[in-house]
Amino acid sequence: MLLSSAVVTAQERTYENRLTRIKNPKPLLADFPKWIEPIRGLARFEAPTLVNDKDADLSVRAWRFSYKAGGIIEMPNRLRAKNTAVILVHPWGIDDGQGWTTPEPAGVVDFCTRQKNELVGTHTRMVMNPFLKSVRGKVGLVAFSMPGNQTAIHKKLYRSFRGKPTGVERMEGARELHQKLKNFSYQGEALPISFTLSCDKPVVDYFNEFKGLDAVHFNPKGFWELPIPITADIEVDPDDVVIYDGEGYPELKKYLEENGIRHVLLAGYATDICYAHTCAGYENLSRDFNVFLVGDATVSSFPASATPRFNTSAHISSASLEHLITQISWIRFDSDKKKRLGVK
Amino acid sequence: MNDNRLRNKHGFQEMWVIITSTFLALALVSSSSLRAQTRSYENVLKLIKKPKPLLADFPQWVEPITEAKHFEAPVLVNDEDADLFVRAWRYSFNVRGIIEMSNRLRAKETAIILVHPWAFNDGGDWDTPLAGIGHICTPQSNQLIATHTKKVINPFLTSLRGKVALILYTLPGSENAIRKKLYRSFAGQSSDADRIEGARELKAWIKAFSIRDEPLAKSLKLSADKPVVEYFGQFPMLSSNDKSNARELLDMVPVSANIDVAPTDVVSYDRQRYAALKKHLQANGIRHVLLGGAVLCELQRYTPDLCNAGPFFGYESLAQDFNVFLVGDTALTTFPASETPRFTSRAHISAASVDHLITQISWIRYEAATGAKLTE
Repeated sequence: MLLSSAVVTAQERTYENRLTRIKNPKPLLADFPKWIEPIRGLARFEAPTLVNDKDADLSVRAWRFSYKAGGIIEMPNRLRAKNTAVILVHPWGIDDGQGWTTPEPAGVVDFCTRQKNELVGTHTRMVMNPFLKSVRGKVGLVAFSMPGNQTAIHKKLYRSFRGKPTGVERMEGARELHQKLKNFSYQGEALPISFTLSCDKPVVDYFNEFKGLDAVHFNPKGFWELPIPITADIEVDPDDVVIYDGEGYPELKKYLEENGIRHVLLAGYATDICYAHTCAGYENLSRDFNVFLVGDATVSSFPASATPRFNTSAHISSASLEHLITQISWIRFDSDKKKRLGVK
Repeated sequence: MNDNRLRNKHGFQEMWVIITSTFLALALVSSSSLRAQTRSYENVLKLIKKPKPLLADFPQWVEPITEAKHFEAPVLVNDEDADLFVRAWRYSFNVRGIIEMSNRLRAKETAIILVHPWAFNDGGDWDTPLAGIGHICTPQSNQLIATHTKKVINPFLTSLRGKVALILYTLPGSENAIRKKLYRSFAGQSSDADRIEGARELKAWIKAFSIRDEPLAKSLKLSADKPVVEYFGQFPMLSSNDKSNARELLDMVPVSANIDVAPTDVVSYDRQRYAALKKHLQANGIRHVLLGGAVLCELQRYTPDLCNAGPFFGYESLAQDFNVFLVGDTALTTFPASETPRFTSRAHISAASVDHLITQISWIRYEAATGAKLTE
């Protein structure tokens, strides 16, 4: 595998950066407008195939925005599915019935309020889980990244870099997780009733005394030490791998390379925070792998908003300056096409 | 004759120093006395029934904000002899909703700061360099911003000029000979004749300027292994390269022609850094800032000296020392991969509302002579 990778590394080609104007282009990311506002208008250009693997069996159309080109540049890509990983960043199991619950009356977790977490849970069920099911068994790896380190319960529940639990261990892990989460009290501190402000700078003091996001003081002690499960809205397969942020990016990179991964289809929560900046976020991965951000398989945080769709669209647009964006309907396996056409 | 002139000039300077020092001393005494005063703020939150969308006056520029729960909190800024009413809001994850509150400010202790009202594609002489990055980066997006400046920002500034203590613009670069003639700065105010001369010199400068930039790369060298990594390495988002002289252009850019700059308006330059701005504001008795402009510029991440959401003049700095209100419908973001700024502006204002107060033009009302009786 490493030898094959070295051969690929040594090959170099000249990429003709030829941009052809696309007439009447359709909106991008328009399949799930509840979660992401479609991207419309602007000049759009077609560029030649960028990733062009030998024996490719996976088509991933993608785009990026360039100020210099004055528009959106779209291009086809041909990948080998076995060299491709689908990584899902931070699918936290909060307010999903497994027991880990947003503390009352003022605690914050994940998308920070129970209503917002439940809304995003719908996205996981309706969009993310079907997407993962459609790629599992075809790509080289399906992985989830989670915060913190592996606990004894995690070890029994999920496959990791170090090993895969047995069926019996998984059942035992699920039982232990249930007990642990069920027996915890989710009662946290109440909001401050009053505080002291100077007459000179009341706004400065107000925000110092009453922060917009406090995930420590209003969550009960021990809350963040609980084992965070993967959301129940995803049907985790025993072969899926869990990446723990605490292990660090070098370990993740090593693991992916050892498994022949060169391409990453990145999904996850939250577009503006974990999806970008954590261990398996695109800022790290795009230094070493051909990364495609699956724009409709991500949801941004959405403070002061009843919907995440504008924030997700804004953050994906911003990411498109330096990263390739794709969408679920643009990821196509040759095997599926053959099946549709009845070809053996 | 010359000696007399010199003496008179020195006499005037001495007088000016005495007046300034007295004013400064009074301002500092007043400020330190206010600093010493504290009050207990009752953080009582009452649910608002059927709240209206926020920032809904200019939907072309900012998508209106709707959230499930809005709460009313008690008055936050409550100056004695207030004459400027500023309703504002913030979001709290812990409260799980938007918190709105009234504020009563003294206009004479309030500044309006407009970040980076650049002149690119404003109908004047300043065009975006070809394949360049002037302001919001493409001629079309700059024209859109210029319309916003004309229709939204300029009327806002006109409505409060002469009522608030100060209107200030920030520009990139530093003060140079032409800018010194054109605008009042921390150093002093130019004469009418200087301004006419400065405008003439600037026109001549831009006419003589020729942009130098590299065209798009026609071909790239990519490995078969990591073509995406190398593609972005060789074809980055902006055309900032050693061969470009866009920096010279940015260092000379004036305030947009769509703003009727008054001789008393002040320009602050990014290279002066935040400490100089803070000193100037405090020396002029400023405690409150109404902040607008390109404060939420995405380019900050890549070119920190171009825009200023962060370290220099943006709200992150100002909010440590002043009572800052972001005027949401006067602040636009960059909008890459989008034909409109309204979604990105909304997203950035929403995010800023977690740590800052947001207001809107229609929520800022000056009521002279009503003083402490100011009501909603």
